Amino acid sequence: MILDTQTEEQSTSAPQPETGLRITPQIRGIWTEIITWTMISLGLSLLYFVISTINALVMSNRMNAINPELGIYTQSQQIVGLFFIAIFVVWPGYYLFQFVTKLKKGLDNDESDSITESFRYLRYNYAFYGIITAIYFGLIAIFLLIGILFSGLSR
Amino acid sequence: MSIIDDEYTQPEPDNSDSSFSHELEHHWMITGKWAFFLSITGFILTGIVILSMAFVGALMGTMFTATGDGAFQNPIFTMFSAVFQFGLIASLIMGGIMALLFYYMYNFGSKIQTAVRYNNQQLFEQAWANLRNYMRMAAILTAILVIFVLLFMVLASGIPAATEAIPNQQ
Repeated sequence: MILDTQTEEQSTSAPQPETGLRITPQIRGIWTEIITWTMISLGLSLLYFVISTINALVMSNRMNAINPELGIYTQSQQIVGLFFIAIFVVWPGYYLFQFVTKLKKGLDNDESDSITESFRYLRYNYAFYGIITAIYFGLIAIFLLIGILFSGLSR
Repeated sequence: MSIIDDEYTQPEPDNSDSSFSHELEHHWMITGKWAFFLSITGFILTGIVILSMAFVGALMGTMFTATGDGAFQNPIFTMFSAVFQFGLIASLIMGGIMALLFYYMYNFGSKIQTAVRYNNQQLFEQAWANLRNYMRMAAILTAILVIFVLLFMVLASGIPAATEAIPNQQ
């Protein structure tokens, strides 16, 4: 990116401050906003998954009551679905919640340990999604390879 | 010793808080790397979704507008065509929104890494501003999603009543 290159050049040519990065009032303000928006996002995500899970359970039970042979979203599938929600939603959500609460505590009480802890959880959150994405892309690559191999063998 | 500068104190020399500062910088660097990786994969996925939707849209459009004596002159296909076009436009808009979301994440990831590497305070502030924009947009999108799910629930709860109201044709 042009903007990034320019700022990088400026940063290397400009005299560097003796101290490291500082948590200024501007950063404090931005972090406070991040806390607010993350809390809103977490609350709404929780609401969304509760509503959609109830919706899916009610709809599938209703459909299965009309015609049991349809087998739409049976009880075992429901359990598997809830298990996946727990892994992919609750786990990273917990990291994000820890990030927000510890950052708020750190900012309110000027506790540097809490702030450090909070960013550890933000890192965990990003690492979780990064690993899941890497696994996802890895699986796609494996399936593509298998597909290519089998299509080659069938000829 | 606090790492937070308030408006009334001068920045202190970093000999007192260098230990946790290094740990914090390490967390920011790793977070930035993952955010960068996620944003790039997000851009790729968004591109794949938009391209596949455009491809399928072109294919279906050609199929639905076929004017032979074939079955595609059936009114049900005309209705499907309209629904499909709406879906295509909606998915393109969603693709654009997703791209913007990943752009914020990309900016956060790249700027926080550069800021930590070169001790650039300006880039440091820009990185957090981008994360704030990302979180803000994610919250707004989740709110829209919740509204859609609630609307769907309201509409779906009306379906059994509507089907009961239809007189039995047989």
